[in-house]
Amino acid sequence: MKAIVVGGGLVGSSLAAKLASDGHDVILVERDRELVRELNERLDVQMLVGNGTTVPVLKRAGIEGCDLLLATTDSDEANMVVALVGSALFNVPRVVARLRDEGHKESFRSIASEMGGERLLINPDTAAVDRILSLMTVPGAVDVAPFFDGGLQVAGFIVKETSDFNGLLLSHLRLLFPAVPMLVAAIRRDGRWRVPHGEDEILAGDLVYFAMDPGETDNVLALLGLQREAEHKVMIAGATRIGIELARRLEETGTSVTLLDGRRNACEKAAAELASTLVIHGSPTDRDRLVEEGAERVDDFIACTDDHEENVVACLLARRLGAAHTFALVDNPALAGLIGEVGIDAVISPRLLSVSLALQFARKGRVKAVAALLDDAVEVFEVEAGAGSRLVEEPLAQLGLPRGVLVAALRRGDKILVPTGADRIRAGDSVLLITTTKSASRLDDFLEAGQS
Amino acid sequence: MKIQTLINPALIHLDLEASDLVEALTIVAELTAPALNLSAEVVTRGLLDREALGSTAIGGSFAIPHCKLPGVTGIVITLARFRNAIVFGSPEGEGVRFLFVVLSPPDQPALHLQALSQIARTMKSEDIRSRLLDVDDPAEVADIVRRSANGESL
Repeated sequence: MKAIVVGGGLVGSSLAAKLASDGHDVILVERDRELVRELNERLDVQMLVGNGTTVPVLKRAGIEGCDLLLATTDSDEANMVVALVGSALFNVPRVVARLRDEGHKESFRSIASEMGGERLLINPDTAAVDRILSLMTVPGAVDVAPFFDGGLQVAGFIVKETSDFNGLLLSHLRLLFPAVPMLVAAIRRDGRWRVPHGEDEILAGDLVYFAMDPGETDNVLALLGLQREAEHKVMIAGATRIGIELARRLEETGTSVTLLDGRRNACEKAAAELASTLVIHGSPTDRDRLVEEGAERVDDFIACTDDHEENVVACLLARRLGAAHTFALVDNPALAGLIGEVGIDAVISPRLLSVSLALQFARKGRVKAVAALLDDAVEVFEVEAGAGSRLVEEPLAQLGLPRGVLVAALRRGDKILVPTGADRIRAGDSVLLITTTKSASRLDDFLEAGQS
Repeated sequence: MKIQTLINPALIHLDLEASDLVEALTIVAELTAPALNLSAEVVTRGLLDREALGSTAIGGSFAIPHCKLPGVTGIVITLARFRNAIVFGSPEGEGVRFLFVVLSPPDQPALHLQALSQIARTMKSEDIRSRLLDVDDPAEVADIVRRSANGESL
């Protein structure tokens, strides 16, 4: 596949690198010569210096015959132009544009409504809010992703010393949950990922990803030593776009929300846009202020100021004061490692979320859903096993799947099954595959080989 | 919930004999049912139905037959040791001599799972398993279970 990425920021450069490592023919267009020089040192991706909103530059990048165009600059307007030029003038079949402003989205949709091809508009702020809300539905989860149309949920948790999972063998899960799908999809221990097998043990401090029947969530929480609060108190630090949107969505569910920001004008704006939310002027890293506003009694504390280091500090403070769960908006992938170790339940990266959404769209077709776990080292794929697919020939143990790939679950009709090595996948099954990111391209090749 | 608080020496039986799984679970049900004010048939049926979903054997001659039953008000654990090995699961399944039988109220699934998890984790230790197969006094069995579940050395 030939792909053009316009904009070399974190989202554009990550996307270009991912697509290139998946084996696609990728070119990254960026007008800042200095940035291109820097990226060239880090990435094994073809680069072109130039303004990607112009036809000559796009032509030089090879837009004629391009299969996928991704507009990921920091400017909504530039992204709209790139996407519209790609769709209208060059009939690019798949186009992705990052648009932060809902008004821009609307304009774009009405202009593009008659054009051919498929388009995905990504709003990183909305993606972040969606993510935070889905994490809040499973208290204590580091990560939550639905598969099989919601029939199976992949959720990651840090296992506490006192948890009833501490010391449990994976083979015991069938003893506890004989009639429903329940398995450990991946374990991160001491910073390293393990592809689990039955004799593995769950230990305190592990980050464990369960693939489970969503109906068992409360039982899993009980075994983890976590519980749902009947009445939910939420404190949000940062009257940013994300903070305000999150407060607004929580208001709709009747949740009591306190919104805190150190900037007076931001507070005034938020107060005008929100209804029942209590908007407080005060710094989220001011300990006394947090105490005053009752941070020690909140169930969820979400730090989403524009200063991501401040978010980490605010979460640590809130946690120390007694907030049950804390979430920090952090775009720096290196900081994702902080989870669990310092008491932050989950970090949300709008940029990485944008990357995931765009990749999911880019891989669409064979792959129905994909989620990257935590630090991007493990990916979960849902694929449809077609009649000619290599997945359906042999028992699982003899398929010759690449190393680091696990067939976690199957959906056959309306049943979800956890297969053993002796089971076979049938044509028409949906298959949930877990793979280390390193093996993802080998898995892609494996699946590709069966299609031809 | 701690299983060590649920071990009742009156529900520990160390000298049983049975020819197969059905007979073993029937015996256990008859020994436990009076304490629950339930019929033994109901208890046997519940345990066999659960066994039909998949063997509850956990290796090393131990198994944790269990079920949730209407009418049970708090978790009841019976310990049953057989002189002979009983086959669990398929005909090639493993021989089991020691049963931790867990009967739970239907409306407290989390406590039920916590009990199963605690027993499975405690019984991972080969040392504890061999002691439980070895000693002859129910009080001593209760003591070993309590102390090992507490994480104390034996």
